[in-house]
Amino acid sequence: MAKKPKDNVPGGDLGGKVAQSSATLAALAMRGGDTWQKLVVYCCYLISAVAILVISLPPYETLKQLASLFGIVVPLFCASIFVMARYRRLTGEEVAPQPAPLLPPAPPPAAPTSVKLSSATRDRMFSVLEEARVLVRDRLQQKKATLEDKQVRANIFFPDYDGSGNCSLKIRPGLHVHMTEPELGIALGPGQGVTSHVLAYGEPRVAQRLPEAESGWDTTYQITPKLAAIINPQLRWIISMPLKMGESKPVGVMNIDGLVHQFSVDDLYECARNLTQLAMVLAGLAMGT
Amino acid sequence: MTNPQGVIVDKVVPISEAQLAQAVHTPLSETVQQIIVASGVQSLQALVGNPAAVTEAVKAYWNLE
Repeated sequence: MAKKPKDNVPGGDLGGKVAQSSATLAALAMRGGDTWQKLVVYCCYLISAVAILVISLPPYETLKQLASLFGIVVPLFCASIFVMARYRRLTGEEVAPQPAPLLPPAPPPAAPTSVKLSSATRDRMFSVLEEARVLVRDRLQQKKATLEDKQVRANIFFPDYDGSGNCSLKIRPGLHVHMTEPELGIALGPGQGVTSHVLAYGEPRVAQRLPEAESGWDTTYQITPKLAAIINPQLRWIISMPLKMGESKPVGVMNIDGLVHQFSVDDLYECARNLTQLAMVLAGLAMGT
Repeated sequence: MTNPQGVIVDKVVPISEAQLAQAVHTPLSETVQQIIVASGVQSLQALVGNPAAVTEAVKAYWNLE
């Protein structure tokens, strides 16, 4: 680090050594300076050098000598201002932006990734999902004997992250029963549908399709033409269970839903409670711990 | 105007301490128990043949603790 000179303002000494010394210091101080600052300093020293040359040549008239002296002092003074400013910055007397510590840059936060399932895990989860569907079907068939097997469906949604970190909920291929297109390709954004609520809040919910909204429900979703084109028009009810162990955040959502026949909310509540352990098993299999 | 497709309404499933028994005592089938054992997942092994562990896990699932 260059040491700050205490008397670097050119005074009455017009010797070439002073100018040369100041020029050297200025050049040293201006290393790394802005280009325009360097140009100003070097121009000042050029003018001073010319003035020194003029003052050393005859005739030694008073007016000429004074003008030359002026031509030496003023540019040196201007140059000294730039040099001083540069020294202050170099010696830290001026508050300057602190350089970043020489530490390796912190790695970016890990982007969330979609749940990965081996084929063996997926097969096990499918078996458990089918157990859940049959459990509900058998229970509801006790209420309505005409309920057919294919009218009770099942699926598991997992968050699906794209490369930019955006998330949507999608039915995992191979983890659905009696589902067909276009519902299999449905993608739910944050806050869309019952499934998103269950994933966000970790609470089991039941849903029904009703001719018009009735009081007493937490959430109402209007069936927009876009949704109507995707959702099976015969869908009547949904039991939506978070896949979680204990109080942990859900990793996915299991839905058991039904076509054609409507059932009472209490019947659906009862089915939901019966699905508790199976939902936990599915969560444990998905998490693998 | 009434939407011909109707509306979808939903609500949180309620559960009481009394109803907890329903969730706890729904037995896991033999098939599911075999799947749990075959999976090797430690957190699930405790649910097989351990009613106390099942009760605690179900309570936690429903946020009843």
